[in-house]
Amino acid sequence: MMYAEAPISQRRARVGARHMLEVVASLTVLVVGALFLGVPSASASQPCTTNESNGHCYSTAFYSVSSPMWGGSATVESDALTAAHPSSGFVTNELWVGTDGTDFNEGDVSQEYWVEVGMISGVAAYGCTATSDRFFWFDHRPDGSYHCHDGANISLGGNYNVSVKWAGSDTWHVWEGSTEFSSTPNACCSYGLIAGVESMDNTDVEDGYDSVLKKEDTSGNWTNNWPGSVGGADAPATFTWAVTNQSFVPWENFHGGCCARRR
Amino acid sequence: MHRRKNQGLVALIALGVAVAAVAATTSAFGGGGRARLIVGAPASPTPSELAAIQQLVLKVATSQGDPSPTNISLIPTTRQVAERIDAGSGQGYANTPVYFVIAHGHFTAYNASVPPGAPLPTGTVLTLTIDPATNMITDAGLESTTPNLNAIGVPQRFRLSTSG
Repeated sequence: MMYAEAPISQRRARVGARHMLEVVASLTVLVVGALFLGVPSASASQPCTTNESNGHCYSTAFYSVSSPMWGGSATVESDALTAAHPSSGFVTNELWVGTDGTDFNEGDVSQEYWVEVGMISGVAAYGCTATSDRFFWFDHRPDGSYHCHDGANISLGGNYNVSVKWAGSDTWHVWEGSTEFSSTPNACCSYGLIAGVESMDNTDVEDGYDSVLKKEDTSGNWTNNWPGSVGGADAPATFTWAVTNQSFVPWENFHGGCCARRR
Repeated sequence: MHRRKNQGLVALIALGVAVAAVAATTSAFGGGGRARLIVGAPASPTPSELAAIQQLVLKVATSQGDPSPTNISLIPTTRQVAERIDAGSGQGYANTPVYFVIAHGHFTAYNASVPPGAPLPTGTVLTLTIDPATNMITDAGLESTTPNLNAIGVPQRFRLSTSG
C-alpha cells in the first residue's frame, strides 16, 4: 500500500461518538452556570477539543508515504489569525515535516521528530513571547530537545512559502519565505508531511488558505500535490479541500461572523 | 602625586577583582573551557532589568509546571551565538545583543506546538533567549542536557525570590 491509513479521520470518528454525550453534558453545565452565576462565557481559556490527547485542535492535510522524502513545502495564507488568549496560547497556520524516519502515524508518537514552520498568533511553545502575527519555526530533534524561534512579522492576507529540505550532514534547512535557518543535528529522512492549523482554544480565530503543497524525493526532485493525503479537522475547526491534494481551507471561528469568507 | 598613586592602586584592585570574578565564575560553571567574552554582547542587566527578567523566568517556569526552578544563570551574549551553541545552528540570526537564561527543573511545555497526536515536550533544562530592549523571549529550548555555557559567554548566577 502506497499510502498510510487515515489515522486522523479514524481517530476523530472513533472518539467523536464517545464524547458526544460528554460534550452535550459539559455544555449544559456551562450554560446553566453562566446563566445562574453570571459568569462571562468567553473569559477563560477553553481547551480546544477532547479529541486530541494534547487538547489542541487541528485542521490539516496529512500526507504519509512508504518511501523516504527529503522535504516538503506549502504556501500558507491567513486572512484572520487571532489567539483568544495570546499570553498563554496560540493559533498557527503551518507546515510540519517529519524527520529521522517520522511518518506521523499513530503508534510511534514518542519516537516522532520533526521541523515545523509557519505563521503564529500568541505565545509560541513555552517561551517565544512576541504578540504580533509572525513567522515561527520549531523543531523536536532526536537528541530529545525542543526549540522554538520567533521570526519576522507577517501581514494578514499575504501568501508565504514555507519549506523544510534535507541538506545532508544531519541538517535540515528551514525557510520562512526567503529567510533560511537550520535544524541540526536532525537525521534523514521524512515519511510524513502535515499542513494546516493548530489551535489551543476553541475561541481562537483562523481563516486560512493553504496551497501549492509539494514534496521532494530523495533524488532532489520537487513535485506538486500530496496524492492520497487525508484532510480532517477537530470541531469547531473545519477543513475543506479547494482542490483535492493541492489546496485547502483550514478554518476556525467559534464566535462566527468575524471574518468574511473570501472564497 | 599621591592622588595619582592612589588612583593607580584603585584601578589595579578593580582589575584584580574583575579577573577574580571571571575566574570564579568560570570555575563555578565549569565545562567547555574558559568563559568567552562575546563581541556584541549587552552589558549586564541593571537591578531593575534583572528584576524584570527574574519575573519573566518565574512566569515561564511556573507556566511549564515548575514554579521553583534552580541553578539559574544569565549570560549576556548575541542571538547568533546563543542559538548556535544551544539550538545547534545560528544560521539566519544576526549578532543582536541578548540575554541567554538557563534554569533547571521539571518542565512540561503545556503550550507547545506539536503535530496531531504527539505528546507535549518535557525536559529538565529550560533555556530562554531574551531581547534586552523589549524583555521578550525570541527563542526557547526544553532539553535534558546543559549546553556549554562558557561557549555562550560569561555566566552570572542568579536566584528567583521563590527558588532554593
